[in-house]
Amino acid sequence: MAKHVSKMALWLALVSVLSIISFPIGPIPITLQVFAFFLMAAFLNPSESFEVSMGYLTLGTIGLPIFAGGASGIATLIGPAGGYLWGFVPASIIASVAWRKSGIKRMVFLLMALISIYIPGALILSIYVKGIINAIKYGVLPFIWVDAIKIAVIFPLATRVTKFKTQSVR
Amino acid sequence: MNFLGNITIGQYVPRDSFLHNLDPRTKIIFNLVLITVVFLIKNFYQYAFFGGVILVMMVLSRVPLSHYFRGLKALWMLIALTVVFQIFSGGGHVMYSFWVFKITDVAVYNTVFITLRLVFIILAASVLTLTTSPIRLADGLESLMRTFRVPKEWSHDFSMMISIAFRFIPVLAIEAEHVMRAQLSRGARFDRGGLIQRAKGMIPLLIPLFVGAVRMADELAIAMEARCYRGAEGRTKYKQLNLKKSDCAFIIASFAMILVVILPL
Repeated sequence: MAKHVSKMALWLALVSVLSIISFPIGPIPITLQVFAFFLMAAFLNPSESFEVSMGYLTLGTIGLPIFAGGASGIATLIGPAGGYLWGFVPASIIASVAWRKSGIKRMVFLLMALISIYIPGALILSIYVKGIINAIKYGVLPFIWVDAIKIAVIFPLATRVTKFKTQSVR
Repeated sequence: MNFLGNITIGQYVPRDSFLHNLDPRTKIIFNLVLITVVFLIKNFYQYAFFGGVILVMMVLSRVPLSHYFRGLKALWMLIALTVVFQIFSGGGHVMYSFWVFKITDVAVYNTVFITLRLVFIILAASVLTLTTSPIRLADGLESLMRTFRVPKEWSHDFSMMISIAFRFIPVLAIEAEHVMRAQLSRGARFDRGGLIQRAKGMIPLLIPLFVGAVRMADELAIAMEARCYRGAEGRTKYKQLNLKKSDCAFIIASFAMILVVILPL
């Protein structure tokens, strides 16, 4: 009981921290937000992932500067880039299912999870930029490959941490 | 690398005001209604009325106005982005054009309209977060979820998780900084090489952070169980939330605002 809550809470804190810390990789500093969500999904079951991602949105909404770029508040959630944040909820559930599959199925599910971040993102953006085609042009294509790389990096990392987890910490 | 440094967790400003003393649930409902109202607004008269309401709230909260403007300043990127997207959206008569860009009257109208919407939402949300401490907000959310028939287990877990995360976000941020300093002193470089190499460079930073977090979660679970934590079952609260008359009046007043916007004036 306590274990379940403390595990979710720590992952929530970790996801929040990794969303704020930005690293100077490439021309623009990136955060590890997407990365953190997908990694979290590897360790929690789908319902826990759902709870943590809802918790993340709630924490951001009530004023913690944990959205990308240190933003917070309801305005960010319904602003032009807010759809991506909503997308984390389905994405973390799908990714969590993905980690329970293996081989090609896992890849397909992970890809679906990535796309499920971008669908609400592009939909909300399309209200602001007039038209879904513009939204995809400015809001999906320039970013999706970077995220795909991030997810590729998770593979070795997740296996390493999982190995550690099964060894010493139940 | 950008760390939390002087991050402020929550923006709560402790004061003794009418708004501070309201029940957190009242303020959450009020906020939701306020945001609905902003989206229903159809003309500038209604905006003027709504602006008046927000101004009264800001004065009632007895929080210095500079705090509100700081909130707006933090989100200037968002506002700028909205303006840029809207101003070239086209439609109506061309007022001004250069190169391939055209600014039309309809676009200007839309820009002002949508920007005001965003500004009002930010201000309304600030009224909530500046006058309510995060823990009270979490309590309010839990109690609201129970009102809306969310299973007790789930709502309790959720608010517990949020309260714990509040405590651990700064702890983990400091931990991340320590790990990074430690790895730097061992000769790790995070800013050299190509994309792949830099991504690989993150691993010595992330692994200790994750392992530390997993360990913290375990210790926390043991500490909680040692204090007989059993989840939602049989749990009582030291500070009970109770709705007073002023809360009810406030909720009714906020719903009345929807009427003002819906009715053709």
